[in-house]
Amino acid sequence: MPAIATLPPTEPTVSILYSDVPRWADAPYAQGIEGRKVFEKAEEAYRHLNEPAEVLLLMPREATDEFSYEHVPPKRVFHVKTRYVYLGKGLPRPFDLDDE
Amino acid sequence: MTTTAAWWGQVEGPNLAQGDYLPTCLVPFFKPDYGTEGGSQEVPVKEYDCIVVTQSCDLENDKATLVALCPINPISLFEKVNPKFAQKGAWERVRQGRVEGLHLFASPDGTHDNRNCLVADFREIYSLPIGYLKQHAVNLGQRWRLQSPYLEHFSQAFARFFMRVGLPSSIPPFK
Repeated sequence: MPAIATLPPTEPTVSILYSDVPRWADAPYAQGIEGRKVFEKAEEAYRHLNEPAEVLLLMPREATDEFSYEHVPPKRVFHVKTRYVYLGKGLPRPFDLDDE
Repeated sequence: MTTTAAWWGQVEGPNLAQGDYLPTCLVPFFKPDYGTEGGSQEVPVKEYDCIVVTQSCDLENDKATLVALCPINPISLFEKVNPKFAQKGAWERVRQGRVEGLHLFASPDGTHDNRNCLVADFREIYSLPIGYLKQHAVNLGQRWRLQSPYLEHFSQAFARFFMRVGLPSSIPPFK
């Protein structure tokens, strides 16, 4: 057996993360301007990938929630003919500061 | 001895307060194209039994032109729409405040039968003009108003529901 095979495996000083995407933020990163830009872009990409996935993960949980419920329908429904009367843009209501 | 008599008091007239039970309120639901066609349009109107959630102080001092209301129904009707609530233990969880969006009231008829309870749905909030509601209140004649401290309990439950904050993610559950 070659001598090299008997030696303990060497450990890399910096862990190389290829597939474990969420752990990229734990890795050391460069402190320069370019390094910060890379970090910001990586963070943006992480958010882009991760946040929609979180929404999708939540949806089935909500759908199967034991205590989700439907609203009770109205007692009756009818239609009324309405005529538009435009009264202008709504203005803020008078607000008396002394009244508070 | 438990009693439900103290939950509701009878009132009459146009003055509105938080916790007023107003049956048969008419709520218009505008269609997506409302106002885009010239002249006039048919608008669906739905009828609900409602309870006032706007704060009484705002109603008394004419600070609100629109009044917020939630639908309120007998639990038997709610169960017809949501049969799983007929299962044992479901209403007990609601009573304990452990089901978001629902709040239970004793029946205004003063009976001790829990099957006559009413349930408010905080996930549906309607805003109706105060003038319409005052006139509607007059037309109803004698009507029910939730009494203290059940009123404050209801108000707090609504506030707790409304002030919820949704997080994009959370720490994993403890197991």
